[in-house]
Amino acid sequence: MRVISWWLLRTVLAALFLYAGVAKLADVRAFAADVANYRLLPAPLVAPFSATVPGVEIVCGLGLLYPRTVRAAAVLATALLVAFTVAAVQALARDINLDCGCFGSVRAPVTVLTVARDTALVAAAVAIGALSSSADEKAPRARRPGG
Amino acid sequence: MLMRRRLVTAYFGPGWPGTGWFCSPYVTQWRASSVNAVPIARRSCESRLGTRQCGTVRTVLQMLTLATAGALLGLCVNSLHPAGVSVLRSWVAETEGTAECAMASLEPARIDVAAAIRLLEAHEAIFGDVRGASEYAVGHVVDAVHLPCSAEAPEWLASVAKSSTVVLYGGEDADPGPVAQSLAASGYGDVRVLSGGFRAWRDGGGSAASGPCEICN
Repeated sequence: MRVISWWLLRTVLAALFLYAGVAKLADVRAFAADVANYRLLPAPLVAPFSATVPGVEIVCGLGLLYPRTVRAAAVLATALLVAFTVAAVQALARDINLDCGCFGSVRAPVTVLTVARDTALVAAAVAIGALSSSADEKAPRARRPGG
Repeated sequence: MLMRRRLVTAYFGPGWPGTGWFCSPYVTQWRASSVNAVPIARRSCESRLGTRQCGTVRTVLQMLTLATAGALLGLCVNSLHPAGVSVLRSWVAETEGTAECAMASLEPARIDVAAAIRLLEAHEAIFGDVRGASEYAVGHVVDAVHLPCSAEAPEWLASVAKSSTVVLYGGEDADPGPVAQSLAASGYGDVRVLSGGFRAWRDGGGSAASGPCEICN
């Protein structure tokens, strides 16, 4: 049951990251406009951030699917999702009415539901990292050469 | 980079992958025993740092590698994409450039009526009406100033702090987008456009007044 949950969480989170990354890369300009609307980054950093984050999301999604990197990818996913959640919370707190920019050209305003969804995804990423840690510790040690 | 170098040293040991790494004992052992190098490096790390710490260092290294690879992937795809952004130019400067860029920036931050009413009641925003003077005189948001698209920015606007929140609204024939762009380019960091314009404001129960703009002339 635990293995199935872990596999399911990994697959769902990986699919989400891959979809989000590809959708953003398909229209980086629109994503950059969304990032600028959050009013968190100084203008010179908006374009580099918008160009790199989709790639990081794609690699993170692939890393979640590959057993040897799943723990690192889960930590990276957690960091990304925490950053996204903080950005959404500050937008809500400052009454900035803007599109989330979470999935490229899919227009969806930032609401409390966005924060709730991001928080749930953070919990999922943390769970994947924790479960992969315990699985790693239970794994048999590598055989010594000649041993 | 320094942190990454320290992590690499902690995990793989000194000399890997620094100068002469190919002759390091790990590689020699790897070549001699024909097993892959990672378990050797892992055992070496575990003997020095312990299993748990070594696992943490390995995870952080992998995470940095994933992030770097992802960033490079994003930059490469963006540079090859015909509609990619210029990463070396400021986003605001870019939006002032070509017509194509201006199109992208025609999506200013929007604000709904309820949030705008809260800002007005708390006196936390300046409201600007971009419609014609006659429409303004018939009815406008209380304390709103007239900022028509066709006119130059009024002198009194220079006294408004650039950190102020400015809410712009229009009507059926008046798009506040260009004014929002102009203000943003002038350094106003928080310019928002009221969704639905003055009609939505009135329908949403926002306070309205009538008469010409007194401070505009």
